[in-house]
Amino acid sequence: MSRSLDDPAGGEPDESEDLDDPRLAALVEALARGETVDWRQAEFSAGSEAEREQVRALAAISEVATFHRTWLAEGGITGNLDEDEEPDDEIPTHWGELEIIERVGRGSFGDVYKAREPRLDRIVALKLIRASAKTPEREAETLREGRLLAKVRHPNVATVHGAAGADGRVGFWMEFLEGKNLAEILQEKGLFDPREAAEIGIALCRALAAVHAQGIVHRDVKAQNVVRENDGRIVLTDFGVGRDATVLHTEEPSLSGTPLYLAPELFEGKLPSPASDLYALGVLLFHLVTGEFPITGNSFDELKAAHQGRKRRWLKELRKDLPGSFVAALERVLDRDLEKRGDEAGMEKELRRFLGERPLRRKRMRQAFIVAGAVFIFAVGMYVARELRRREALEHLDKAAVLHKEGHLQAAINELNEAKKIDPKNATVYLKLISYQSGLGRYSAALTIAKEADSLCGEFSLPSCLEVKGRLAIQLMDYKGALDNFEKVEKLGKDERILQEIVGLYRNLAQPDQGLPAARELGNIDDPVGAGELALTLSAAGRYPDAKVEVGKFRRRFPAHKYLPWVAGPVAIAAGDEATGENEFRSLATQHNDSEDESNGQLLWAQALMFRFKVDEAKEVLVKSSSLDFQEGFDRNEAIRKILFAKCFAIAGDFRQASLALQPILEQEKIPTNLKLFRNAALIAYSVNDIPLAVRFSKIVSQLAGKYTTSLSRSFDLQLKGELAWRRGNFEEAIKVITEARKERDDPQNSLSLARVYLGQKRCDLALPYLNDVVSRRGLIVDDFYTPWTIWNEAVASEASCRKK
Amino acid sequence: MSSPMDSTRGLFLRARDGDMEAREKLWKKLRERLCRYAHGKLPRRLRSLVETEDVVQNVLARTIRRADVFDPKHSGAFGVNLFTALKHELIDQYRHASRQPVEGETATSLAAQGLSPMEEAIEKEKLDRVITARSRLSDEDQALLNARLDLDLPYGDVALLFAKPSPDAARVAYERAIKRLVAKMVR
Repeated sequence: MSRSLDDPAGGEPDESEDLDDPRLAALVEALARGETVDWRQAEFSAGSEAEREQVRALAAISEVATFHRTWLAEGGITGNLDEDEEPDDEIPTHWGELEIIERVGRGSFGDVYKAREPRLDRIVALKLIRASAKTPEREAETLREGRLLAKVRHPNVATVHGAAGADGRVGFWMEFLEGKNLAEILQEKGLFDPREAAEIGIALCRALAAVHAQGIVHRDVKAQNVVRENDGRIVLTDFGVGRDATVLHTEEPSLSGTPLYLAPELFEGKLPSPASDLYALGVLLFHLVTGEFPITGNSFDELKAAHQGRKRRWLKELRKDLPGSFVAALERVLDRDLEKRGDEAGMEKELRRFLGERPLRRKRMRQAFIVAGAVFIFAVGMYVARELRRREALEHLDKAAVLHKEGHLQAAINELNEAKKIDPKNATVYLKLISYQSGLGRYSAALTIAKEADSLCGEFSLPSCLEVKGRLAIQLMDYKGALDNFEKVEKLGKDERILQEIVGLYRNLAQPDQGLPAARELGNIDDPVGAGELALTLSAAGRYPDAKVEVGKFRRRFPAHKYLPWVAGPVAIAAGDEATGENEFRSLATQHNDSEDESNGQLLWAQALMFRFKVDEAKEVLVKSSSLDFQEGFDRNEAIRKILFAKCFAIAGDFRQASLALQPILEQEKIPTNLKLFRNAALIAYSVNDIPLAVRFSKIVSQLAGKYTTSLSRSFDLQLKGELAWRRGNFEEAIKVITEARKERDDPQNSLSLARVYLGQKRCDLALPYLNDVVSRRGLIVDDFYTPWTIWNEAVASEASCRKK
Repeated sequence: MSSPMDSTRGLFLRARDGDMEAREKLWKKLRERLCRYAHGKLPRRLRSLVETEDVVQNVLARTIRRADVFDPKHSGAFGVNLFTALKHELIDQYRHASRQPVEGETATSLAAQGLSPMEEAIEKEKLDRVITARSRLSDEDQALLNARLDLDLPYGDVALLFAKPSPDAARVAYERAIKRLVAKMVR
């Protein structure tokens, strides 16, 4: 082995190699740099007795160094000997795009700066590794911390805006918290009032639920890591020792976190879990109201012995004035028995009860309770089960994500299938497979995978399982069921992906108003998709001026973003600016290199042209779009294209061509996802008087509705039965059935069908309210990619005709 | 690149033999660093009374005069010895100053009876372990630990004294010395 020139020991074996363990090496480095190290915690974090012994030796050396460094200074003599050594000690003026204002904190290896993000004109906290302290491991660790935090979006968790490397330094930037941590407040103001502590506890329960929902264990919940902002907001921060489940599985169990906050099972070598975070929260609240800790000790062994011997302090003994319900809530989560500890939702409920508040949204709270309980049980199982397989699977997942981004969906699916073989219980793999297969229009495959995943999840209510159930429900066109599952996931923690689903589902359920709160949350996230969803939801809800304002904001924040035409087009058309809408879609159809975008863009452009009665141009666009072949996804768009062709022919009065265009749709897979296609085909077939064809499509819808009973399928089935009854002259039956359909789903198409029946009876007075309903919901109609938007034109024409009469 | 004769050790050996040029070079080389060290450690109240440079020059002259009893075995030994002497000089100055407390300052009694200040500050058993293990290290490791652990010298100075190419290399060498010290302590 070659020996370094710096090695004065010459040819002797180098004993220093014993300390090559990265954790110990980091401690040596910190000592060498004269940085402050929490030696007690380091000792607790050691993985073995030998390692602990080495840490103790380092701590003794550090004491000697500290003595020499401070001894003279204690008499009033100070001096900064390192002033010529830390060139990076100077505060930089910029990092990447950020303008650095001042340094606000200094950690072992990094600095925290107050900075300004000029593009958004907002103040952020920037955490950067010092240039002199950077190592590949530390850089990776910092990025990991940033990414961990970025996974969680919750008002009580510090929001990370980004993590990156720039100007030779790695770091991440997050919201700037104006306030003090709870340890500082405790020191300054003394013990907390139990009500105040309960309010903090509730905020932290919600924060932890959000953290755990992402599969992350915080591992260092303590007073120093919770900030109370000046406006009173409680924020959980510092995920320095946090780990996601993936990393946790591959590591040896070790003690991290402040020892006095550690749960008893951790001293027995068990892995940190959501339950140990909850225990730490209990210790934190205990500490806030008493200034003490339930278990104390001066060393690892003392603390371990205290836990084993159950020598602990009781809240009731330390503060006899505390109300029983508050004490009970805290003592429950401090239980040695993990199962008795319950979960965050349970603790939140108890704390709210103590505060005299009724639990919010009772039903959802109960669901969250069940969910979080199952999360805990499942999570513990997961922690010990997977490990290396998971890491290997993750590599395939990463590759799949890259391929997907590049538009190679089939290759991405192949990678996911590899991941599935290696880790057949990885919910993320299933979720992505469902998404990608749906993206290619392979709904049968997506449905099969969703069912497979759902059976693997069983009754578990882990967020990923809830998401699987949600995705399965979407494949079954059970939007209400999907919404229920996604809302449960969202309750466990804000996630923009889930919020997007919720917003989209409300629009699919023709209830965009109800999706507005979630859309507004999305709009607050600095993300183009979120901004777009808010604009689209406002438009679908008929709030056109607000939608246009949001489009304007989108344009300013994300100019030239490829998602912009997708948002600006429908909003413009819904708001009556059809020419702008048409132009937006034209740009979408012609300016992208992505064949899927281009193909979808052609269809939307054709819709916009039809909407403006430019039928011939629409047909040209549809013909042109037929030549676009984007892998297997062609099937879905080809079917929509046929529907639009048929509609064009129907408008032009060429009924035979319209029927011919619809024929191939009969060959589509008989799966719930294609319900809308069959329904639309049936309606167009009825409109061109091809009753046999319409009946064939209607039967398909009826069969699917019998097999997959959802409000959507029932509504479609009833709607078509009403159409048939009307065609047969049975107006009474038609009105009855379509009214039933309308109760199942408040769909403008149902209103139009009812209006048609009344118009057939020459009852404009009865038709008008329904026509008005359709006319007033232009935004919702334009939001629907599948249904011909011309139903709005028909309603307007009929309404005008009625008014003349 | 400077010749081996111009290394701190080389200059010291030449100065010891009466080479005035070497003595001048040595002074030039170390003056600034010694003064900075002294300025940082010198009691605040003395800074206006004592010229830092005088203290440093006295120490350097005394160290060279004692050269006949001091034989540096490695590159860093002379420098570490010089800084140690300076530190002792400063402690003496401090003790002297603390006997004449200035209003508003608290004089710390450094003339502790029985125990040394370090023994007072650090648990004896722990201190003994460090001291014993240190004595079992190589001379250069001991000097490195002196330089950084006891004298708290910046790595720039350590690099100069130990002929390391950069402060970072000095830090790495010091980290290795610590690791070897730990290895001796845990045996």
